[in-house]
This record gives sequence, C-alpha cells and structure tokens, in this order.
Amino acid sequence: MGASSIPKRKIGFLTSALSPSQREDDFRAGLRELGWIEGDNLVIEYRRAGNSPDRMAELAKDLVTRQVELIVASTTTAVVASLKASPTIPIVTISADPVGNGFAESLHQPGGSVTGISTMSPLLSGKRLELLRELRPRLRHIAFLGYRPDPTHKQFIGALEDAGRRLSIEISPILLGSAEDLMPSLLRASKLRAEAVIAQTLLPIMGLGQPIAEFALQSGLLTCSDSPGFVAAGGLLSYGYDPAAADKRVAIFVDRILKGGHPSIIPIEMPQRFRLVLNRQTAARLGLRIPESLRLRTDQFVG
Amino acid sequence: MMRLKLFGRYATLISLVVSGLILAMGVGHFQFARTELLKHLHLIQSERATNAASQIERFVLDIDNRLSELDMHREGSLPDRSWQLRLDAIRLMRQVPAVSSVSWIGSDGIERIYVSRLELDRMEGKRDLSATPQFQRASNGKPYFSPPYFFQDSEPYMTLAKPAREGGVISAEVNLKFIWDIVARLSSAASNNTYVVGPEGALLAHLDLAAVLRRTNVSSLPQVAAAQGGKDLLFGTAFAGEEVISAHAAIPLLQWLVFVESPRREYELALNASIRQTVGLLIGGILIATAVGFLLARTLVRPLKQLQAGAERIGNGDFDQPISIRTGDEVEQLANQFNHMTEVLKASYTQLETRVAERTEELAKEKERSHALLLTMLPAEIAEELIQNGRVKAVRHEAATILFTDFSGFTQAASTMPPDVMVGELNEIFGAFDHITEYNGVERIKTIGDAYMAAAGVSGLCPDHARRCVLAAKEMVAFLTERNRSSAFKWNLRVGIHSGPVVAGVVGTRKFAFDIWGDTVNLASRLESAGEVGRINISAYTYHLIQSEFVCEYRGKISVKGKGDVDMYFVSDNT
Repeated sequence: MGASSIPKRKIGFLTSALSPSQREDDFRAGLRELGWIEGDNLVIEYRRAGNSPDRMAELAKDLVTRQVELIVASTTTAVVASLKASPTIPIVTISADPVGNGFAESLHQPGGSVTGISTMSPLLSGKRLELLRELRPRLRHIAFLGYRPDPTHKQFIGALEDAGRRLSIEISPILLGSAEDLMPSLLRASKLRAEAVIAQTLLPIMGLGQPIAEFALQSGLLTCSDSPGFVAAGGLLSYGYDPAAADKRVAIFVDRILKGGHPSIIPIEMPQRFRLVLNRQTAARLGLRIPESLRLRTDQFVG
Repeated sequence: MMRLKLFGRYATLISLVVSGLILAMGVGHFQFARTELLKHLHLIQSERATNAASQIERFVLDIDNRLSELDMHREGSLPDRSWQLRLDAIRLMRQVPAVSSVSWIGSDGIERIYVSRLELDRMEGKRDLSATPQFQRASNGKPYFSPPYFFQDSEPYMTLAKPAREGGVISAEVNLKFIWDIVARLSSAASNNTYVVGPEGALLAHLDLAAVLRRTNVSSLPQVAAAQGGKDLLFGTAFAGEEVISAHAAIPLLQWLVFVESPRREYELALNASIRQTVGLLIGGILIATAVGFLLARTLVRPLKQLQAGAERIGNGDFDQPISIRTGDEVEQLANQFNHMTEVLKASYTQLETRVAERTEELAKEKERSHALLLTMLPAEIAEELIQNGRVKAVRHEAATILFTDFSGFTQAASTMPPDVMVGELNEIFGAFDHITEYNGVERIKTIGDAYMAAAGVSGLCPDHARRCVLAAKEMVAFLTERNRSSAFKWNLRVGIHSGPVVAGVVGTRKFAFDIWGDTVNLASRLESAGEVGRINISAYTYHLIQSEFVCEYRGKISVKGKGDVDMYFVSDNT
C-alpha cells in the first residue's frame, strides 16, 4: 500500500493500565487483520491513566481536543471519563457491564455512543464464589475488593450477595477510593476474618494484582478475579472472559466505526468463551486440594 | 462489369449467409449462456446450501450425540451417579464450548443436576421442570430441539433434550453463536454469503455477527418469505438492499433454513464477460466470414474470368492459346469444351485459307491465260488498254503502214485440195507469217480467206512502221520461196504495202477484234492485187519512207480502181 499518500485515520486509546502491555499488542494485531496498520493508515493516540480518576478525565479531554475519530476505552472508568469529555464521540469498550452502567440501552441496540464487548464479569461473580467453594468447601466468608470510581462495583456486590445467600457465604464489600487504599483494605479484609478475596476486574488492570496476591498468600487468603494476569501474578484463580481474544475482537468495532458505522446500532457482544485459570503453586501453598470437578473446568494451569 | 457484379453477388451472399449463421449461433449462445450460467450458479449455490445445512445439522446432532454418551457407563448409588454425571457434564462442556449448560431432569420432572458456565450449579433437586417443553417432549421418548431464543435479548441459544437412560431427561443449552465459525468458513471459502434463519424468520447465524445479535428478522426478505412458503426464489435481496442470487436448503429437524447468496452483480459481471467474449467472437467470425466470402467468390469467379479472357482471345482470332482451368468441376468441363471448339474452329479456318489460296492461284492462272489469249488477238498496248479500261478507244494514226499478202491462184488450187490439207497448209504458212510479223514488230490484223493483213504504227509509238513492214514482207517472200522448194504445193505470194493515216479500234463485245479502217487500207489491198508473184509492191508513200534503206525499182503509174493512177515500186530482191 502506498502508505504516505493515504490520509491516516486517528483514534484514541484510553486505558487504566500504567504501561504498554500485551493487551495493546493484541488490539493492534486485530486491527492489522482488518487492514488497519498503525503508522501506515492509522494513528493511535495512547493515553494511560493508571489509577488516577482525575488524570483519566484529563486524558479523555485531551483525546477529544485532538479530534480522534473514536476512543477505545478499555475499562469502565475510561468509558465514564470519555463520555464526560464528549457525549458524541464513538466509544469502543471492553468493560464489565456497559448496559448495567447505563452506557447502552441494551446489548442488541446500544442506542448511544458506546459499543464494544461486555465482559459479563459481574454476572460471573456467583460462579467465582462457587469455584472458590469447590477449593474450600467450608467457605463461609469472603471479602470483595471493589473500586469506588468504577460504578460496576455495585453490580459485582449485588451478584455476589445474591450468590452468597444461596451458598450461605457472607460477603464483605470493601471499596477502594484509590490505589493508596489497597493495604488498609486488605488489612481490613483480614481483620474481618474473610477466608477469601474476590477482586474487581479493574484492580489487576491498575497493577494491583501482585500486591493483592502477595498479601493474600501471606495471610492464607484464597483469591479470585476475572483476569488471567492476576493468576500469573500469583493470584489463585480467575474466571472470566479471555482478554487476548477480546482485545483482538474489539478491533472489529473500531473497523466498523471507521467505515461509517454508528455505535448506537452496533450490538454489544458478549465474550465467546470464559476461561478458568488456576495457579497450582498458589493452591499448594495455601494447602488446597484441587477437586476433579474444578480440574476438569480449568482451561489453563499456571505454575 | 458482369464479372464484378457476379463477384459482388457471390461475396455478399456467402458473407451474409455465414455471418447470419454466426450471428444466430452467437445469439443462441448468449441466451444459452445466460440461462445456463444462472442455472449453473444456482445449482452450485443450492449444493453449497445443502452442504452448509448438513454441516450445521451435524453441529447440532453432534451435541445431541454427546448428550447420549453422557448418559452411559454410570454405576453405583444415585448420589454417586449424580456426582459422576455432573463431572461428565463438566467434561462435555469443556469439550464442546457451544454448550453453556447441561441438566438432568428426573422422571418426575424435578431438576436433579444443573451445570452451567454462567450460573451457579444446582444439585439440590428443588426445581420442578415437568411443565417445560423439553421435559414433556423428551420424556415421551422423542428428542427435542427447542426454537431459538435470545440470551440477554441478544445471543441466540437453543435447548436440546433427550430421554435419559435411567428415566427422565437430559438437556443442554447451546450457544448458537458458535455456528458463526461454520458460516464464516463456508462464506470465506466460497466468497458468498451463508446465513441461517430460524422458524420465525429470526436470523441465527450470519457472517455479520452484529446482524444476528441485533435480532434481525429476515422474514421480510422476499427469498426468505418464499422459502418459508416452501418456494424457491432465485433472485433475492440482501439486508443492504443489494440484489442477490439466492439458494437455500432446509434443516427439517430444526425447522431452520440455510441460505447461500452471491451478489447478482457478480453474476452480471460474469455474464457481461461472457457477452463480451461472444461479441468478440461474433465480430471475428463475421470478419472471417466476409474474407471467406470474398475468397470463395474469387475462386468461383476466377475460372469464369479465365473463360471470358479465352473467349476474347478466340474472338480476336488467336486460336493458339488454350484456356487452362483446373478446377475439376463444371467450369473446367466448359473450358475443355471451349478448347475443343477452338481446335475445330482453328482446323476449319486453316482449311479455308488453303482453299482460298488455291482459288486465288487458279484465278491468277486463268487471268494470265486470258491475257495471253488477248495478246494473241490484239496488239500488246491495245490488249493492255482493254484489260485496264474494259474498252479501247478508237485512235487515228497519222502515220501507219499496211501490209497485204495474197496467194495468186488460190481458189483454183484450193478446189483440188482436201480441205484439211488446205487448212493445214494455210495454218503452217500463216503461223510462220505470225512469227515473222511478231519478230519484226508488226501487228497481224487478220486473215481473210487466203489474204493476210498486218500493220505497223497502229499501236504505240512506232516511227519506222514502213521499214518494219518491208522487212516482214521480205522475210515472208523468202520463207515461201524456201518452202516452195521442198513442199508438195507451190504457192505464189503477192505482197502489197502502203503507208498513210488509219483509224484503229476494237470492235465486238464478246469476240474482240482489232481492226483498222481507212483509205490507206483499201489502197494497200489494191497494191497487193496490182503486184506480182514473189514481189513486194509498195506505194510512193511507203517508198519515200524506206528509200534510204531499201533499193526499189519504179514501176510507173498503174491504174487502180477508184483511185486513178498510182505510183508503184517493187522492193528490189537483193537488198
């Protein structure tokens, strides 16, 4: 392709991550398959906010002033910031519950400026609880680590409490205002005698996966999230969407919008598959026996 | 001009006939190509649809089979068996990602086991599912395939159920989004669109997943409506409004329809390519036909032209060049007949020429003979004039000499002689006289009986007419004298000569006779009569003309009847 002669399209990429990651590579690979090659016919403005909500808002505004054609908002907080910066710029997201958070009217008819992939993460909260109980059948009490700036924590808590009632497990929600609240929150969970910690999706993305895993291991807590990265960082298990597949898949929405599609009529997709990743090492250090029912469900063992 | 006309007519006719044939074939081919191409395309698409339908059906039946397998090899007490069934269900779900949940409903309709990817598993046996269609249908011993439904109002799902071995029903929820893999594979391999439609017209699988998730109902598409009515519509419409060539196959088990469509534009493009090819071939064909027409016409007309040229040559009298045509057909036969005719013509022409030459020669000879005859009868100049002009003008000659001879006592002698002897004698003597006169340039005029008449100076220029006559007379006398010495009969010759003006002319129309008239002639005759045997009697006129050459003796004036006295001389014998 005559790279220089074609006018380049410009999109923004807003994330809660702190640094470039494999996930961005997967996204670019997805774009490449559709003919969008960064630096050739596409410019991607990356904005990484980390755990600061203020910075996220600032970066979203910056992308809007730079007149990007759309913003890939890879987390719920990024969607919130982007929507605040511009209610009209198309937003492509991979986030927990765009419908539940009010970004879209429904999955099949979003009706607004947001489309993309719903990870269905809150919906799977009960399942995570169930999986933890498979590992420790006498599980009575867990703590949920949520992130207050991300509105999805409500759905998480709701789903967990619902499941907890059915499984007779007490749920203690602990919300972090920022990354600084992590240690006090973990200490609080420990103090409440929670036997396990379920972390909201965003926390590992924000880079808090490792400290959580380390603290949990030291305190003998079981841990669960929906991010395979968390398990790789020492967490016990994750159950949820496959980020690599989702990051690649989300490029289709970018392609559709760059080709003139409107997000209001591009249905939001659910993940094709859910993956269970289990850290055998962590399980061993916690003195857990992996029952067959869990072993059969595990898609990937780490360690 | 004619041959050009013929050539043009042939060339046009052949070109038109062949071009017409080609054109008819071309149009036929186009019609054929159009219907056949369409038929072919539709057939291919129908086959693809059938293939797609069977693959999709297999996808569902495969899950159905797995459920059957799930139901086997279990032993022990019910709780143990339940536990084992749960593990098997988990295993199945791991192997078949499209299955999102598996449940076992006891024969009483109470749910015993529920294993799910999304929801909490259940093994408490509290739910009464006896009213559900999957239980009602499957517990009657029939496998059940539910109509599709949409999870979270978006993703298509269906429920499979079949009777369990130990009573009750085993059922599974299947995420139909996984059919996308099959559809995508088929669509990309064949570069046409494959999609699956449920019983109510709900789109279940499409290359554009968004169209499925959007819960598109495609009943309004004409080809789908037709297919739902059990009919087949060749041309349909895609979602985008584009015209498509459509084919479908049904999956009766599921009451689904599988459509395979390709843009009509592509067919039109292929057809246009075919048309372009046909038109190209047509133009080429017509060009070749025209060329062939011209060539054929030339081949046909060329021998005719050769024939014409040959006929022209013969017309100009050239028989030596035969017409050479080797076409092996009627034209060659015609040319051969022409050549034969030419030969016959040539032969008769040659014969004619010879005959004409012969006749000409004969005529020339005849002419020569008549000329010679004329010469014997007439003086050369007179004869010439007669031949030239057909007549002779009477001419008066002022100076001419007349010679007369006669035999003295002829009548008496003749009466004693047999006629043939007499004529023989005269013939011999006069023949000699003819030689003598001819020799001396004297014209014999005629013989009258035994008289012989000659003259000089009556034709052409002749100044010495008198001398010639005298010389001739002397030779005549000498001849007879000599003859008389040996012959049986002795003839007595008298000779008279006179000079003067005469008129000469030719009389007669059929028998020409040269004659002379005038007083001079009469006097010459008188001189002969007045002469003596063996002597040459001449007048004074003649004497004056010859005296310088001949010695003469004067006889004196002798009376002549009607003339009075006339001076006469004898030419002396020895001069």
